[in-house]
Amino acid sequence: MLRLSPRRAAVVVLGLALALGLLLTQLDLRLVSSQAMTIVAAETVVQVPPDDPWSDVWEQADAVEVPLSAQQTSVPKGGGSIRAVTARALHDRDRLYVLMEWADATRDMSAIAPQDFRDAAAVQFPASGVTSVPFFCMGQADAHVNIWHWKADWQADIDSGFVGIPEAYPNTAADLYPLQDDPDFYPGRAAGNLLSQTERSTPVENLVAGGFGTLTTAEKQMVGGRGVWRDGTWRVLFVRDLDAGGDAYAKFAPGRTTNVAFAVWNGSKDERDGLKSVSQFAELQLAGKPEAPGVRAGLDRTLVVVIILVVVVGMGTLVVAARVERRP
Amino acid sequence: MQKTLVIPARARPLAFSPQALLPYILWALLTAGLTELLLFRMLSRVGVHIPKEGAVQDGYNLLTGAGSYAFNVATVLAFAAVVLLAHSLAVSRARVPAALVSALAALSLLFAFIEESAGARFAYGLVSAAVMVVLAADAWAGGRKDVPRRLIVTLVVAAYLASQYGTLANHAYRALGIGGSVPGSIGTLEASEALVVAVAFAMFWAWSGLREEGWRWRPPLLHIAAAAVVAVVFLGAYAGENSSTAAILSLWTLGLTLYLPLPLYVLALALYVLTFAACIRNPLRTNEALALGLLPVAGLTLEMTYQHLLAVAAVLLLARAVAVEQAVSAETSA
Repeated sequence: MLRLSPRRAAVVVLGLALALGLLLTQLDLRLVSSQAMTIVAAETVVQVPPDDPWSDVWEQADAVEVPLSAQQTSVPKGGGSIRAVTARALHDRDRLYVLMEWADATRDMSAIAPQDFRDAAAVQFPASGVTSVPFFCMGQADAHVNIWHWKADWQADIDSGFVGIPEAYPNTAADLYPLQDDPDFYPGRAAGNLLSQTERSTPVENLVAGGFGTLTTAEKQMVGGRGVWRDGTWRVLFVRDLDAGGDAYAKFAPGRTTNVAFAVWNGSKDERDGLKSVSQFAELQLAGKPEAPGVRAGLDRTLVVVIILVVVVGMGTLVVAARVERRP
Repeated sequence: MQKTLVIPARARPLAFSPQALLPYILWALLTAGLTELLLFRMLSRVGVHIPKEGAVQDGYNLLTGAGSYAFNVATVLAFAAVVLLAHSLAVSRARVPAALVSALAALSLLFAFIEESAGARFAYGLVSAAVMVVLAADAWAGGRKDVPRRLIVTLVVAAYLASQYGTLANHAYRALGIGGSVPGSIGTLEASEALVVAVAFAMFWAWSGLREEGWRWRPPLLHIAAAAVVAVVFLGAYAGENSSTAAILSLWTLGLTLYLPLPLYVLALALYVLTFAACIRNPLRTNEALALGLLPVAGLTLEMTYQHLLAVAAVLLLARAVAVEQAVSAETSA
């Protein structure tokens, strides 16, 4: 048995811990591993219909139920009427498909009246140049996020045609507006503001953000998708190429893992803006071998053997230590 | 605690045992853990509101850098603490808990260096859950008929099992290639959060002094002030226009979504602080004080191996109240 003052031994051990902590900090290493919930985007050889979220192809995707809560971080706070969303993902090495499904008794597809609010859904990823997980509410100054926002009223514009004041209120009487078809009278539309458009190619807006109050329409609008409500359930499909180019957008690759968060708005509960149901970041793993395997790739095959060895050695050490301890 | 650890300055070298290190390591772990919780996990998230320029930016970088360092030190100390606790279990012939705890530590270390599969994560979660269940069973089977302790350990373990159900089932579904969503994962997550609140009330009843003193119980003014300050800061941060602090503290650091009525959380938090202060003041409640400190650092959702280790250490301290006290008495009698 050692002859050493416990206090001196403690000083030695704590000194070692401090030094090891410094070494880890200098090497930018963490002595931890994430054990969070993972959504796996399985690789599929079957073509995924980009306009049919109820397609049978989704039977082959793992479903993960993600808990949601009211947004309580920034004003306006609240929402939270949708308690969970079921998330699925697939990829075909060219495009990523993300499917959100949630129960909603009402189908709210119009926001034209002041008292009406649409249903909506969003997925959020860290921007491709980000090295740490961003804050889950709109990211942060040094860790931006890329958000895909599906809007039910945009979906209605595509499915049934644009609904303006005359269509929503057919019996309205209006004064005569001279030159009412002149583009100069529609500055939002003329400036290319997506919210002002009457003809749409996608119901999904691609956005970027770096903190509260910085949410901005992205320069490139390349996210497709479709939302379909059926028997009290929404299914919304998001589709995008794996690599959209540029650090502002999320980048995906087979065999790689990123983070994903979800948000849902229930229009019939007056949810809009910050009033919504949000999740924290979960992990999104794209199945398949990476094009450029990392150092750690391939270790999974021998994992069981290594685990057994480590456990046996650890337990053996403990048993020996315990026997030494009991020896008079 | 401090008095029992005093060693004469010129004492001859004592018979050293690993257990004698335990109090030092646990208090150091608690200090490092609370520091990283406040300066790293919380401040770096609150930092979205801090002006990124000048002295404020420098101060922010300094504090979060210190928090990041504290995080690394805490992860190292977490391993040391769990290994020492496992050794303590082995010495007291609790072989099954000792084997499970050491297996968890070994897996945690291994997973820090490799990219684990879903099956490996499921195995890890199972070992962690098994440790909790065995410790809860141990608390009921032990000779000490301490009903409040048994109840609290059961509630804590039930909260962890409920919060881990969805994640564990997710890993199992992936490992086994099962499609479909995990049934009941949202309900169990909400139940786990309700259990956390219940744990705070139960701990207050058991260890604040209220149970022993009844209507004559009068906590020191300093303790009341500390609890009141924490509750007011929490409420103020929650209700204020810039309301991110409370939400971040609760969701990012503790894993609580605050879906229950807010006054319940405020009351539970104040009572928890009162209990923590009472346990720190009482040398016979060293284990409880350490466990009460470690539990918030571990959080509820256990998204990192480090948090699993902290949670297991805290439950172990609660379930086997002899661990640190034995170490102290062994040291003083040597």
